[in-house]
Amino acid sequence: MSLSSAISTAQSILSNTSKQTLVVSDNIANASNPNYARRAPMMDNNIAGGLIVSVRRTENQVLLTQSLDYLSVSSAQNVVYSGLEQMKTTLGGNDNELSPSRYIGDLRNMLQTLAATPGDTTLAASLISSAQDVANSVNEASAAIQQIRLDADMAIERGVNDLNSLLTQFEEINREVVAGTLSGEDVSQALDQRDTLLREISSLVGIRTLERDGNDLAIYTTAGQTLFETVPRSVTFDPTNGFDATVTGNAVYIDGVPLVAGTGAQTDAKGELAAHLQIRDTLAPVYQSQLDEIARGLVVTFAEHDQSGSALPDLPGLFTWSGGTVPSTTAIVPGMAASLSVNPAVVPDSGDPALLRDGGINGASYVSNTSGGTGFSTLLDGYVTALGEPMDFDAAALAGERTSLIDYASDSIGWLELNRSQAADAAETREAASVQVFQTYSNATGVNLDEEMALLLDLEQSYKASTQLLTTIDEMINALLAATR
Amino acid sequence: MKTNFVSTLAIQSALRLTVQRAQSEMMDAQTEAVTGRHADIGLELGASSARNVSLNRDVERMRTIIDGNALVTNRISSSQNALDQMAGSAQQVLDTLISMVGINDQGRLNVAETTVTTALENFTAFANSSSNGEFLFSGVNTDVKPLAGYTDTGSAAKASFDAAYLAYFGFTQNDPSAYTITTTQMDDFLTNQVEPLILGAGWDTDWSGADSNVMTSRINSNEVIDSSATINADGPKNMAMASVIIMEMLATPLSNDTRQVLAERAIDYVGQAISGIDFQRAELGLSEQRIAKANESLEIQIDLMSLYIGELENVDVYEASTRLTTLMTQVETSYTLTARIQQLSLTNYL
Repeated sequence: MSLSSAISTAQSILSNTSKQTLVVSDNIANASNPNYARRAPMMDNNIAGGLIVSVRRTENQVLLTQSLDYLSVSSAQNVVYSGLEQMKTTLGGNDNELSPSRYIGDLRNMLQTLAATPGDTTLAASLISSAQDVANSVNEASAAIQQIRLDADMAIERGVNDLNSLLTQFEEINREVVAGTLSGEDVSQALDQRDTLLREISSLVGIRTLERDGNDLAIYTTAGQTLFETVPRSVTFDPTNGFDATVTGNAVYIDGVPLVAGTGAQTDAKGELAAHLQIRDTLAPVYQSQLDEIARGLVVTFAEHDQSGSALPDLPGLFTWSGGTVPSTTAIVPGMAASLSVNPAVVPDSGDPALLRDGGINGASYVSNTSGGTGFSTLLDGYVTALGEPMDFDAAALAGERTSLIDYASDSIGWLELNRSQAADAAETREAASVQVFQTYSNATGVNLDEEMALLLDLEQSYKASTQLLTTIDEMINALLAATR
Repeated sequence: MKTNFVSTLAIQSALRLTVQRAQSEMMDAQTEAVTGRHADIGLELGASSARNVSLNRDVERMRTIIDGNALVTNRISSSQNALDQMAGSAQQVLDTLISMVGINDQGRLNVAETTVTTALENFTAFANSSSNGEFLFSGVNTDVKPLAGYTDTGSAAKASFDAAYLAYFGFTQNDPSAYTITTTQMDDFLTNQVEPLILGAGWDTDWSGADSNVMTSRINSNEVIDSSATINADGPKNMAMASVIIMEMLATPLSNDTRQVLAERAIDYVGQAISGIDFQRAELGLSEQRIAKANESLEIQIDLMSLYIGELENVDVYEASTRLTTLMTQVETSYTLTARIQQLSLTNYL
């Protein structure tokens, strides 16, 4: 009786050991899988008094939530930073070689030189080409900004599609977990997958989770919209095909409630979607309105004034735009930067560069150089001075209210660099924090190979011991049988 | 719950971020050590980038002004040179006239007339001199020849003078009746007939293609100066006046008294011509001095601003290279550690 029960105990040790070995080798196999939570083999007594092995998955809900939080903040910050970085590339490198500011400075230098020798027709023609550089750089910057908005819009669309498909997968896995938990199966594998999905979702949008009976998980956004509760909620977005300064993009609706865009260079957005919304609806449009204000400043500064005393309105001079007027109020004219161009009346192919020196682009009433002398420099010098004189700008463009056009163009760079530098700092610290938290989480739930190896040694010993036990019992039984023969 | 647990994954990835950041910092440090400027000025300066950009624009602008000032200086010194020669011609007329006072010998009178004619021709040639394709004395009308030649065929000024003479006296200059012209008549003729033709309204129609407004140039951010002279000034007009009356009447059959009046009046005009031209030279000299002063102050401003720009965007090269060395050591240490930690495994001892 007792010998045979000893045999059965030894057998159960063997089977328990092999079960434990299975768990340990599973752990070893997943040592470098970041989404794997370590399984601990546990010995429990069953009702009958026998030892059985159960598998427990290490979990740390607090660290998981924290790690998801940091992940969504860090991925949002990265999006904001790379958006600002993209905007900076429209300015060129360290010396802002491609910025409107630089080209306006060059234009002023050309004007200065031409004012010293107003009769030089070659110089006048190269001044016009310098003015074309200014117009082109403003046009190109505006086009690049709208492209950045379009890219953000497309990224939002992709993000929304990803989010929807992640939620569908989540529904499946969650059902598996709930069903498995109810029937008492080992659901560790499914839980790993569910955590992985949570990580992917939280990089798109900041989330809070709520665990309910039977391991069922509900997901809400940090703003409180329901993303998943038993079934996934719909996330909808209507992409825009093309952007210009007057087009506003559509909102992302989660369960019917619009997702709020992030604010600030050190963004308060959680998840990539809100950050893309911030680029598309705040950062890029602000820079666009600064470009529009620069364009307005150029048109106003180079406007021709009535010289005939009949109070005719100011009309565009060197620079004109699709509207063809000189805006009289201090307000952003959306889209002006895109249509800024050099007046064809002074372009050598279609007109006469000398009109810039004499005035009269808009007809005889606007001629300043009434005697027609080629050494007339007053008007040119007036433009040089006007570029450095304070004028009013719309405060809504966030680059100053009353400053000279040249300084305004520099201030616009300053605005961008301020945001970029803040975003870069924030991106660095937030990524470090995110990595740090993930490491802590990984330390709490991950696998240590050495420990598994040590465990394996234990198992090996106990396996050896139990085989030894079997042999010994076998010998004892043999001896007993031999004695009774 | 284990408090000191370390996962293998954490060990493996622990040094990754450090190495990553050290490497990107190394790149920046390398750029900084080589260029002496921040690797990414905008990122470093943030909002101050605006000031940096503005300062750079200002420096560029001042350099352009200095370049432009060189053009203006060139024009002014050419003008000075020409005015010097013009004053020389006037002086020659004066010398001739002074030596002729009281002399009525026809041969010497003819020689004097020729001398004055040559002097006016020289004067005209210098008045029409140009620099960089611009006429120097045209005022702002730089593409128009300023002074018409009196001795050229079909000269409007000569035709006007001849007509005025004929209308006043009733005969032409070389008519023997010229002997009958009294000193009073001569005075009246010069004051009321010839002066309006040359010193007055006739100047613009017959003599000058120039504009009375001289060219102006901005030589500093807030200073505008006159940067050329015009032929429409008292000096050149009086020179023309003196020369014309001598050329037209000195060698004609005038009475000695009347010729005396003519010569005296001519000496008076040419004297005014010389002082007028000197005045123009003085004015241009003043402008030259202003430019020199402006350039000096611009240079000082450029130096100051460059210093400030340097403070904003430059880095200490030695600091950057030391940082580079430190970072290299750091990365090497991190490599060594990673390799050694990776080797640390219980597996090796089983």
